[in-house]
Amino acid sequence: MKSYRFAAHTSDTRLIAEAGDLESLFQAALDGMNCLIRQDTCEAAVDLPERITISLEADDTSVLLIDFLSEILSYSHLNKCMYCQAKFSVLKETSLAARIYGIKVDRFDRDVKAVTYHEAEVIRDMEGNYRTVIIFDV
Amino acid sequence: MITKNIMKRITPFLWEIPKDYRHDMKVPCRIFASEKMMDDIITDRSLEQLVNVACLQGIVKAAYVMPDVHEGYGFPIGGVAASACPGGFISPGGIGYDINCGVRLLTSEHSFEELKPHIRRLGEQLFLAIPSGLGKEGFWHLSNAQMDKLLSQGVPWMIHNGYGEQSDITFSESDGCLADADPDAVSQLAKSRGADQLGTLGSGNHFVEIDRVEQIFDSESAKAFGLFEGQVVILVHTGSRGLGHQVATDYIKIFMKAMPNYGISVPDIELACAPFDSGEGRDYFGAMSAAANFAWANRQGITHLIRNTWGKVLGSQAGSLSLLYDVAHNIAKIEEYPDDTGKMRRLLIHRKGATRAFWPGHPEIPEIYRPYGQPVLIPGSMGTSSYVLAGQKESGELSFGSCCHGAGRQMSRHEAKRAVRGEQVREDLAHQGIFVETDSMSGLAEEAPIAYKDVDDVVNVVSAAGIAKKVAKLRPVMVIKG
Repeated sequence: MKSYRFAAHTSDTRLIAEAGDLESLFQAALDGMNCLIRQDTCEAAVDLPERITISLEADDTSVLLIDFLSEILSYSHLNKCMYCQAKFSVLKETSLAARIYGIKVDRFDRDVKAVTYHEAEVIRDMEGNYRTVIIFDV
Repeated sequence: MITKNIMKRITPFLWEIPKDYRHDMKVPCRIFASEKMMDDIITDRSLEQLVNVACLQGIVKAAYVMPDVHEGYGFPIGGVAASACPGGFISPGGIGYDINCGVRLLTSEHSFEELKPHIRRLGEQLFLAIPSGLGKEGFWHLSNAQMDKLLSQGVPWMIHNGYGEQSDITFSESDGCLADADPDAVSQLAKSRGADQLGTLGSGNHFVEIDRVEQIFDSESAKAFGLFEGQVVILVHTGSRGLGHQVATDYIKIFMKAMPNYGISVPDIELACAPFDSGEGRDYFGAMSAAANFAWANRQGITHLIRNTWGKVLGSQAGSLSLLYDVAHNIAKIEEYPDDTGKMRRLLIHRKGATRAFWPGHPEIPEIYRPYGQPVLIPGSMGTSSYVLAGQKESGELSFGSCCHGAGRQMSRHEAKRAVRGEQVREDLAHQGIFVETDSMSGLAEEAPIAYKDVDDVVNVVSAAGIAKKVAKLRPVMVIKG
């Protein structure tokens, strides 16, 4: 199970991501961010020829998730690329290593300026599912 | 939720949340708003965020918000916070990710009646000339060496390279350059993101707008500012693009790691801060200043493109486009204010969605404007008015020389898109004589006039509070959106 949805925020965008495991939560959050940047591109892509490698450490899982998205956002802008699919070789609560696969685009729909730490808190519910809120500066 | 009954009403337009509202507050919170606006302000999390700002170690006097306040992350939008300098903090969250997002106003020599037959063509050509929307590259591709010079010098570098007039320096806040800029404190990733973005508008709420001066409120100030009724003017709103976003992202991460070393804890991680005099604090101030210089240069690059287009479309009748002023509304600057004993002290003023509004006689105002106060530019929404104000004496005493920065959002982007379609917005505006050029209909819906507060109400509050006086009201006729 993995999903994301958007909730009200006066000036920015509040995303709620949920998943049955940590890897799926990170992918759900990435799917949500990509939907903001350029809707439908990742869903429609058959081939993802572009690739970046990310390796991160953080004090906790919430910070790790925000840093993960921030890094991908920066490279999306720099390389004019939608990075759609994360393949993790390591994903622990405070560290990760991953290859992210994507596709070049000519433009984006929305200027996502940043992924903020505000309200971000990865929590695990009684059923073992992961959930967090993420605020994007748009 | 913070309610009105815990607040003190100091004047009809100034409210206070007392310092004892929460145990960790270091100073009270002050909110500029009418009663009607306050009823709306308390419905989102703006004031809870302001209370968090009031908890920062080293904050001076009060945490302020302007009447265009709305919920942000960390600091609320419309916020002003001062810290001792040296001895206080610096917080990237108190400036925002779009460092030196700001506005400039260009004045033409022509009335709307004279240019009416050319306005649509001007709009079309400006839309073609100014790269707008996301992922569009600018006409300048900066090498690393050029980027470092630009980051150090801002607008003067652009003028030196032929992209403007000497007076563009004089009429930019801080002469379009913060001397503390340190290009070495800006990451290579940030520089790379900015390398092809000079002279680009971006998207979201950024725009270029052709306006006509609809009403003059103060004829002496208007004359000094070069404004007359019916005049065609051009408003530009954009910032430091990806370079500034990356600087903020980089340093919030650095500050989060550094805070324990200085014994700092904050109620919201987006308020991450460091002592101004620490290595991290100094590096960020240098990088932030460099990003601010990039933003001023970006608006200067767009000005160059506007002037070229203006000349091509209007030919021999073009006349000049003069810069009235350029103001920042996401920035931190060192300024001097008196303490309780009247002795002057240096403070670091964080403005996040707030405009500097220096009072008449202030030495940092260009000489010809000095008797009237600093020009303050307040863009409204596409379908309403924008304002030119002049900073007044009370701004120094009441708000650390700060004023509102716009109308302020009142509706989320998703709510706006549910309420109205972009095509409908374009059609409605056209019926009012306001024409829009954009590639993004969904972006247009997100920025629909209904998504914003009434700019007249916002401006009336700062005017009644004595922070700034109304000089002129502008009405859009052509909007170019990213």
